[in-house]
Amino acid sequence: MSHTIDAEGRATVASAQAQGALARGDTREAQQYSSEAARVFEQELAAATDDQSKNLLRFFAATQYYRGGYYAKAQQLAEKIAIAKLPGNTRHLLPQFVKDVKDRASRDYPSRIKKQVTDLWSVDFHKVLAILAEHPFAFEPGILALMRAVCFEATDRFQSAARFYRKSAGYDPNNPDVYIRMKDLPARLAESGDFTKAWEYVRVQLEIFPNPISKMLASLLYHQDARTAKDEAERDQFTQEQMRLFHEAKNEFEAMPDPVKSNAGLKEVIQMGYKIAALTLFKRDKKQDAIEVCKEAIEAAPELPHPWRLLGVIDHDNTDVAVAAFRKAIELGDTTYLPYACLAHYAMIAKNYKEAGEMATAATDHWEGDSMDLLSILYQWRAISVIQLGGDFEYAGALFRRALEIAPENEYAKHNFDHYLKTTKRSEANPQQETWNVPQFSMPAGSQSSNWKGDLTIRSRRQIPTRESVGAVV
Amino acid sequence: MLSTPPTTPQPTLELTSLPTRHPGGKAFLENYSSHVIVRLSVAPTPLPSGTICREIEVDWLPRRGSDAQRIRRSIGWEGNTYCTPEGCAEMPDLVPATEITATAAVGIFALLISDLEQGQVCTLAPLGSGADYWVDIEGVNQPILAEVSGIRSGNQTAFAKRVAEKTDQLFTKDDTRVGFVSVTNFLTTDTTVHSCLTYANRRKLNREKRLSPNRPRKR
Repeated sequence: MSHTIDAEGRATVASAQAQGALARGDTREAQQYSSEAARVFEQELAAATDDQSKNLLRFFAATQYYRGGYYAKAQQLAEKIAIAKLPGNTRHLLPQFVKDVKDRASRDYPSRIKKQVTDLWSVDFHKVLAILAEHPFAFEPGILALMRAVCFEATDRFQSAARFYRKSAGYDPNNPDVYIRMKDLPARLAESGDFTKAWEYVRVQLEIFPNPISKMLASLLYHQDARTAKDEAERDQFTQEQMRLFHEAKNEFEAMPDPVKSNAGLKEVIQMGYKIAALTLFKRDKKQDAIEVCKEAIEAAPELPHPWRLLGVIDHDNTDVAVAAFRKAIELGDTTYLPYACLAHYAMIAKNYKEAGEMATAATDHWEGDSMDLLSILYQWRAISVIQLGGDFEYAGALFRRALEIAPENEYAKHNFDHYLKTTKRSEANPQQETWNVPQFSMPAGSQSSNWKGDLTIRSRRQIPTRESVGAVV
Repeated sequence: MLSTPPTTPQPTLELTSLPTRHPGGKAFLENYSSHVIVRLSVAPTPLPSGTICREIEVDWLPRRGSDAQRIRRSIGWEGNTYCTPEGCAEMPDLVPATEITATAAVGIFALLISDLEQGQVCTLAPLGSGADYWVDIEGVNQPILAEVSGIRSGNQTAFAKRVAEKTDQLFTKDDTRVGFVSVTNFLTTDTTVHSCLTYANRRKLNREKRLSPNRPRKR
């Protein structure tokens, strides 16, 4: 062999850099360096004169393409290598190399590896990581990093998880799935009451990969801390942090790429932050500020019902605004009982029994709350509306009975049912003229807490991330 | 027969010295040192966090002069910024185990060839599962070929077998008359790290084979 291969060491260095990049999980960089090394060998190949040098250089170039995941190019070169012309100490490596290249250059290679990963997903994340290490180029870099992040997260290695979420976001800035999956575990931990672990992970996210979603989660956790603060000074401190992070998060979220900021799941998180911030301000007697936050929330997501509902709750003294806001929430598909209950409340005050009855019925139909007194009140409103509209008196009685069953200690329920029984006995009585105690309820702003239940968690955690599932642009 | 290793403290070969030892040493430091650190301190033998060096035992058959001897060296990674503890802990999940071992063995070889033979690795081209390395030795006209290999954990028999395989491989190249063989076993049965750096000579090897009592005789 007359040729000194890579005399300047350019390919040597590029190859080492590719290996280092792979060891850090930087697959795209690894591809670039491998390709650079391969090109150095190909340039030397063009200038080589003897057969042994030519074939060895082809082998080196093919190897570099292979190591960078360019399997088709590697195969093209490998097919041109004359094994007999290779140096003796290299010859034995070629058959296995050709076999490996052929396998990975085959059309079904990515789908075969994907199937292996799918079969092990949620079963053994360590084995999934091992498959990904062997086949880093079977997936797009962003998806690979995302899968690794989820695997690390599932094995409680939060720092590594945050690092790979960051890498994934770097590769695919438009992929909302990065943030959706990253917020899922802290949200689930908080939902289950494990705020310590939720904080542990969110702190790591803020340190390694500060982003609006993690900041909003931290804001919500500070709110939780404020609720259990040991004294007023500590509560103030936590609330300040909550509001600081809330403002940062909402502003930074606005600057995110469109596919991220228009994602429904992520909007939910941001809207949760608005809600908690508005309620915090409201409770601290900063009603006007709270209303401003509500208006911002509406501006951020005018198509969602909850910011409208929130405005109605916060500005409930302003009947016109509140009623319009609750109606808008219903128009936008609000599935909770709250706007219906509140509209029933205003209708009762206005003695608009038709609307009161309809809204109270809708509220009981949509009921998901846990206040039995409130549910009892809704049944009593329904009953009173039936009577006031001259409806079926027995049906009204059934509604009063139901109200009492739901909240046996509720004074209004006891009184009204008792009154109903007495009225029934006085057959001459005109029930519309009877004195019913119309129960009132206070607007539930004070009882709205940072309810984590199901609001933020996704149920698709057991699915492996794919381009199709997230519409990723890779 | 190997001479016994001295008990006095041995020189520490710092990974951060790689750039001064080899022309492409900066790339070795940046990209291979993490593999070395992982194999010496994470797996197969996890060392306490904060450990910054590990002693290895080396069977050295020098190119010139003396007989084979067993020496000790410390491999150090103090001040190495290219592998954070978290990065090292992650690596076994990002790189196939065989590749970590092979690359770590190259890192050890790069330190030993420089320290013991004043050699400089001039070309390093990973190839399939093996690699070709050429080493420049001061005063020698032609670069010398080297075969390098690593074993994650194994006994003495496995080690000897690998050394023999690599030596054979070295001389399958038709015009190779001399070369280096370096094998590192990262976990021996007595939990030490055992390496060798052997200068092999085809003619000497053939002569030894001819004189070997186990050699089959022609009838």
